[in-house]
Amino acid sequence: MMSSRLFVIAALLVFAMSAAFVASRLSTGIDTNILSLLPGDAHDPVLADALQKASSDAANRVAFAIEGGTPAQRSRAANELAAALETSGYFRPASSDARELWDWLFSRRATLLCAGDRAKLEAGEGSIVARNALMEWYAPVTTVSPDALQNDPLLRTNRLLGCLLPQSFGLAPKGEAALLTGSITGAIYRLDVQDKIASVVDAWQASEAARGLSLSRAGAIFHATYGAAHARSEMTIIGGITTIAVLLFYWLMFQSLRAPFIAVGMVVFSLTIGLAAALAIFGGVHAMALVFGAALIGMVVDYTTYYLVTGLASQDVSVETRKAKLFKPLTLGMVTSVAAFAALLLFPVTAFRQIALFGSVGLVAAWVATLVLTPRAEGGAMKVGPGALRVKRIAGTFLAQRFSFRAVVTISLGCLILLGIGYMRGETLDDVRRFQAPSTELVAEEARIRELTGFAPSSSFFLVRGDTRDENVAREEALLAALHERGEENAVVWAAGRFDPSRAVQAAGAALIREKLLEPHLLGILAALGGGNANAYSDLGRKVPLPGFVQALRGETGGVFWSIAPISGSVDGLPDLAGVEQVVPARRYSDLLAQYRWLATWGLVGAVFGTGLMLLAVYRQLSSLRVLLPTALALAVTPAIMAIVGIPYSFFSAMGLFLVAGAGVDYAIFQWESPGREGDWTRVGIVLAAAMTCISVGLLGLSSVLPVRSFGLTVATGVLISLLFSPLVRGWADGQTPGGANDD
Amino acid sequence: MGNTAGFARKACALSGLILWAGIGHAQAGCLSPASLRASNFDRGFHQEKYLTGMEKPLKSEGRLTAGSDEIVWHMLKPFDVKTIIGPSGITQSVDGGAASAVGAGTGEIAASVARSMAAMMRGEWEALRAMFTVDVPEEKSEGDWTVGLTPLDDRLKSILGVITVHGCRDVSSVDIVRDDGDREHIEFETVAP
Repeated sequence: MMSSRLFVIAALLVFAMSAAFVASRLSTGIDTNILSLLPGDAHDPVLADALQKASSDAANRVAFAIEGGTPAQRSRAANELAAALETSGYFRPASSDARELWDWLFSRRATLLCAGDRAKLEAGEGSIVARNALMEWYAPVTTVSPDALQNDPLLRTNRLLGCLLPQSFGLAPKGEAALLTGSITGAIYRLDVQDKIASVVDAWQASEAARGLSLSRAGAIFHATYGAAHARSEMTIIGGITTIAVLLFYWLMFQSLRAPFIAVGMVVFSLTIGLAAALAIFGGVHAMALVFGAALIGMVVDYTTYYLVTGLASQDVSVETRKAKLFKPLTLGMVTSVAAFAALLLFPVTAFRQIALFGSVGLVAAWVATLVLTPRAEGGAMKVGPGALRVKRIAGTFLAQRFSFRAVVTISLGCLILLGIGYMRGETLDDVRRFQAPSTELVAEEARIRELTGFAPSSSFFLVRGDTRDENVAREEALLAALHERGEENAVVWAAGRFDPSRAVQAAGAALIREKLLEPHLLGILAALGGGNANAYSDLGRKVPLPGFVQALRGETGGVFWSIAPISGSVDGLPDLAGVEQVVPARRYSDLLAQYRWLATWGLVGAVFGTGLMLLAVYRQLSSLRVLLPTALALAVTPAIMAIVGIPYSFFSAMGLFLVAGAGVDYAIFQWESPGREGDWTRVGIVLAAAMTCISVGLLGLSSVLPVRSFGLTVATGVLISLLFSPLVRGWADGQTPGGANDD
Repeated sequence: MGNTAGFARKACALSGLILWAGIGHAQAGCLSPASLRASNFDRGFHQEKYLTGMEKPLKSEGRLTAGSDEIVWHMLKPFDVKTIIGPSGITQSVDGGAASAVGAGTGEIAASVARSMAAMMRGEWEALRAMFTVDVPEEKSEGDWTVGLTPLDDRLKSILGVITVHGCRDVSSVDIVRDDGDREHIEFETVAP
C-alpha cells in the first residue's frame, strides 16, 4: 500500500515537473519549418549541412514592396516599416550588409582584382586601369567616399563593388513602388519570431491601408507563418473535437462524468510527460510532431478505457484482480506500440525522431497512469451506460464471431486482389513541391515583387568541397573560370571565393596591383588630381571580418571544407570538376524521400516480423502468430484503398502504417487474451479505443499539408480494418462461436 | 556743371529705367519650378568638383540628354565617356568604343542619382519625393528660383549630400554639398529660345 502511494506521488511529481518544463519552453520551442519534415542525408553529412545552410540562408531573406499613394508617402511608409521591424529586434536591413561589404572590399583594395582589370594588368596595360580610375573621379555624380583621396585615390573599392556584385543586386523597383529588403535575424520557423514580425507588419498595414498604400511581401517567414497558423488551427480543431468525443463517449459508456475527466486527465498527464521528454532531448519540437501527437490522444485513451471496462463486467471484482487481468495484454500492447513508434528513430528526420520520443514516452506514461493513477481516480464509480450496452451488442455481433477456414482464405484472397488493384491504379508521391499548397495571397505578392524587381530566386546551387579551405576556394575558382569560359559567369549569383579568394590568387593579385598599377601610375594619378596620399595602399588599416552573408556561403563538416554557390537559372553540360557538384535541393529531397519510402515499407515488414518474435517469446505457441493476421491484412489493404480513392502512397503513408501496426496488434492481443464470452466487455473497450483513434487521427485527413493528411487517413483506415479483422485471431472452425485461443 | 549734373540725373534715370525694364523683362520670363515641363532635352554642361585635399577643382564638360526611356550623360572633356542609363541597365563607352555594362553597387547608385538629375531637369518634383525631401518654394517668385533636395536615406545623404537646383525658365545649375565640405557645381547651357 505504501509503495503504491509512493508510485502515485512519484508519478504526480514527474508530471508537475514536466508541466513546468513544457510551460517554460513551449513558446520558443516550436519549429514550423516544413523542411524539418524532410530527411537529412545521413550518408553525406556535408551535403546535408549544405542543404540546411542553403535553405536557411535563402529562407531568412525578405522583401517588401509598397505601392499606391505619392512617392513621399511610399518613402515615409517604407522608412517607418523598416524602423518598426528593426525595433522588433529580428530585422536587419540590406543596407547593413552593404556596409559590411564595403568595409571588407576597402580592406582588400590592394589585393582583390576585377577579372577585366586583372587581364589588363597581366597584358601590361596598367595605364588603362589607371586612366579608368581617373575617369571615375570626373564621372557624373561620382559616389566617392569622403576619405577616398587619402585612402583609395584609385577608387579601387568602388571598382570592386561594381564588378563583384551580381547584376541583379540593388535593382531599383520598376514603376511606382518603394522597396525594402533585408533579412530576419531570428529563427524564422520559431513561433515567437513569426508572431513578432507578423504583428509589426499587421500594425503597419492597419495604419497605412487607410492612406491608400498596399504591401507585397516575399520571404519564407511569411509562408512559415501561414503554415503555422494552419497547424495551430488544425490542432485546435482536432484537439477540440477529440476532447468532446471523449467526454460524450465516456459518459455514454460509463454513465459517469468522472470517467471522461479521468480520460482527459490521463491524456494531459501522458502528453505532457511525452512532450517534456521531446523538448528536453531535442531542445524543441516540430509543429507537425504536435499534430501527430494528437494521434496519441486516441491511443492514450485506449489504455484508460481498457481498465475502466474491466469494472463493467462485475462490480465485485477487486482493483488488484482487474489490474492483474489487464497487465499482460496492456503491457504487451504497450511494448509493441512503443516498438512501432521507436522504429521512427531509424529515420534521419528530426521531426520523426521527435514524434518517436514523444509517442514512446507518452505511451509508457499512459501505461503507468493506467495501472497506478486510474484505479485510484476511478473509485468504483463506473456504471454500465446505454452506449456500453449498444456497443456490447454490436461488438458481440461483429467482433465475437469465428470465421470458417474458407472465409479466412476468401478474406485473405480478397485483400490480395485489392492490393493488386491498388498497386496497378495507385501512384507514389515523393515530390516535396506537392506537399503543401502555399497561400495564394503570398504567391501573388511574391509574383508582384518579382515583376517589380526582376529578381528570380535561386533554386539550385553548386556544392564545392576541399580538404582545406584553400583547396575549397581554389576549386571554386576553377568552377568560376570554367563558367567564364562558357560565358555563363553570371549563372552563379554569389560565390564566397569572389570576395575572399585563395591565398595564391590574393598573393598574385597583390603583386600585380603593386608592380603594374601602383608603382608605375599612382604618383601620376595623384598629380592629375592635384593631391592625395602616395602611401594610400601601403597601410591597409584594420582587419575586418568577412561579411556575414558571404560567410554564410561556407561551412565545415567533419574536416571537409565546403562552400555553396547559388545558381540563377540552370547550368547544363558543365564538365566534371574535382570536388564540384550541382545540387537541386527539391530533386535531392524527393530522391531521398523515395529511398526512405522503400526503407519504411521494408521496415514495416521487419516490424511485423519483430512483433511475431515477441508473441512467440511471450506465448510460446506457434498459433499465437495468428495475432499478426489482422494487422498484416490491414497493412496490405490500407494503402490499396488509399490508392483507389486517389491518395498516393508516400513516405508519410508508410509512417502512418507503423501506427496501424502498433494499434492493430493491440486489438488482436486483447481478442486473443479474451476470446470467449468473458471478452464481451474487452471487445467494447477495443471498439471504443479504435473509435477514438479513428476520430483523433482521422481528422488529420482534413489537414492542408499532404504528409499530415496522408498520415491521418492511412492511420484511420488501417485502424478500422484492423478492428474489423481482429476476430481472425481465433482458430477457424465452422459453427463455433465465440471461441479463441483457449478453445484450441 | 548743371548740364553735367542734369546729364548725370538723366543718365541715372535712364539707366534706372533700363535696369527696371530689364528686371521686369527677366521677372516676366521665369517660370515657377512646378511649371517646368522639359520631357526630352539635350543640354550642355560644365561641372566643377571641389574636393578636400585637392589643390584645384576637377573640371569637366559634356552633354546631358534625356529621351523617353533613356538618359545619356556624355562627358567630352577631359575624357570622352558616354554613360547610358536605360531600362535594361547601365552601359558605358570610352573614347567612342564599344559600350560595356556597368556593374551593380556604385553603378546602381550613380544611375539612381542620374535618373534623379534627369527628373530635376524635367521638373518632376513629385517623383523626386521618393528619394528626397523636396523643398519647392510655395509662393510664386517673379525671379530665379531654387529648389532644395535632401536625400531621405541617410546613407545616400552621406554619399550624395544636399542638392540645390537653380533655375528660371529651365534648370540653370545644380549645386551639391556634402557634410565633409566637398561640393560640386554643374552649370547647364542656356536653352536656345
